[in-house]
Amino acid sequence: MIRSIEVKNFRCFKSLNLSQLGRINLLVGRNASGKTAFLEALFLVAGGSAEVILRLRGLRGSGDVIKITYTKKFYESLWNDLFYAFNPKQGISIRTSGTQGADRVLKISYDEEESLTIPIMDKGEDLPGITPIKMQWTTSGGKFFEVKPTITPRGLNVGQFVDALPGAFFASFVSPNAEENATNYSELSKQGKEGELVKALNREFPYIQGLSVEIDSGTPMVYASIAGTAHLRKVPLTLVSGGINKFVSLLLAIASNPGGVIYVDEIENGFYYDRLTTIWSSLFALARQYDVQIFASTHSSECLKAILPLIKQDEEEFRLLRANRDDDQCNVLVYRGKDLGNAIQQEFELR
Amino acid sequence: MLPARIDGPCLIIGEGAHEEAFLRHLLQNRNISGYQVGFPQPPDQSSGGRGGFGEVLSGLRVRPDFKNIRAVVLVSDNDEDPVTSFNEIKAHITAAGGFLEPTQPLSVAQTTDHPDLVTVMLPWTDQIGCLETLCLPAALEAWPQLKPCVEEYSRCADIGTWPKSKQSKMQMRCLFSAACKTDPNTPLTYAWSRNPPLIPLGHQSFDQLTEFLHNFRARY
Repeated sequence: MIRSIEVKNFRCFKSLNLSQLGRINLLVGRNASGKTAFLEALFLVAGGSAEVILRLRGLRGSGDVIKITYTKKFYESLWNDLFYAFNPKQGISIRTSGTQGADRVLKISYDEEESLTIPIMDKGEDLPGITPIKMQWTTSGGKFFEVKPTITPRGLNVGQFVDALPGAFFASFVSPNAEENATNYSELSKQGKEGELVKALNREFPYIQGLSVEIDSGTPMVYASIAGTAHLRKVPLTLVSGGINKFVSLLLAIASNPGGVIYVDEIENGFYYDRLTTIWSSLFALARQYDVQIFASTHSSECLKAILPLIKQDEEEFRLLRANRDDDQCNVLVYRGKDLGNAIQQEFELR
Repeated sequence: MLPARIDGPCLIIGEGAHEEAFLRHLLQNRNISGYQVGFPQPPDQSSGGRGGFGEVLSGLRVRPDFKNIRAVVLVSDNDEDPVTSFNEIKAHITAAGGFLEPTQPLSVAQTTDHPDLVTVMLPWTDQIGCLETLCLPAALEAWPQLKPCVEEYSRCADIGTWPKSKQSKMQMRCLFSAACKTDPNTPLTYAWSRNPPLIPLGHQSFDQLTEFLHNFRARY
């Protein structure tokens, strides 16, 4: 569980220092206040590959495909937006501490001592002069590894995944990955642990009697068994409902990443308002069971109100994080669960 | 209920809707700016009062506009035991965390990372009673023809043994019922929405409170 985080020179954060994070951390703030960047900082330091950065580009809506050109401009455009004020001269540092593998450091900077050679295939010569970016993770126990992404004739080489903190990132407007859901469900099923997930789903949506993994056009997908008037019918979960699909994806992500962290941007998207309390209840119960921490941003007052009964039961597990932009930099403040609960009770505007 | 947006610098939190209406109109009548007024949102409609101060203060710091607040004034009734009532408020301030609790009514408690905090007890420091006790002399003076009736009815109903706050509330209720032909149920909250108001806020009864609020505001 991540208890504290220090961020330097990452995206809109020049310097950020937070402590006393909880199991369920609700992140609020205006547009462009740094909510998503904060989730990204957590996700990056937890990851163990430069691929994570490229994945974030996709989740931000910068496109799923990167068109590679063998130029310095292209290479640096992949990374420069990570740096505060787009200035790579100040290196990025993200440090987390806590329990169960949460003590991690990520440093990102350009390696001024090394020049990257890009092979220009059509001219039969190499183009020197690009300073490679280096990403250095130090994980719990002091393990250190470094990645220097390179452009090769076969594409971008981002290095291997090493010693990542388990977790999953749910972007605001990107549908959960159906194949990843199927893999997670299959793994859970092999361990005989799918029952509790199905129960949680059935409690919320009684017409869903069960889940299974089926092959659809060559792709494994989670199917829901829907109770009908005559017989049980299996339907791809993605076709049942976007909200139910997201709910199952979140439950699967929690159950598949014990001891890890789930990052959810705009968690309320896709959920009908009167389901929010029981959805929170299921997510909280499963997160506790699998010792998973959740960072979830929201713009929804209903979403905050819906979590009040859970906060009243156990204030210590909850935090409100408020992202705020002052001038050209962002900041995040942490508030106790007790204060959050009282503010919701008082019907204060918190978003 | 607190204002949707707090601009500062001073926030007054009363026990309930009556205090909110009274203070808001008093500030307006006496031309004192820089205050906004609110009261705790009771968890259920049957409770409220100063019991909600801790919850409001705790939740207040989570609001995005908390940084606009430089001072908080808690306004509460002394009821029958000024010391006990004040100590209750101190306990709520402590439970909220962050704010420094004042040592006595009207003394300002200051801490570095939270707004200053002061407590005003009604009808006034060390005096037994409540908001209605403070307002009653002004109300009776505004309705001279009803004053002997209210006094006679109080004697008749033998309220002399009642707690002071209850006596004041009963007399205010009688006065309002007799004065408001169109709606004998008119609550104190609406006393100043009528034209002319049922209780004139220029009355000398309110001078002490006005002076305090005026001087306190000048600090910020």
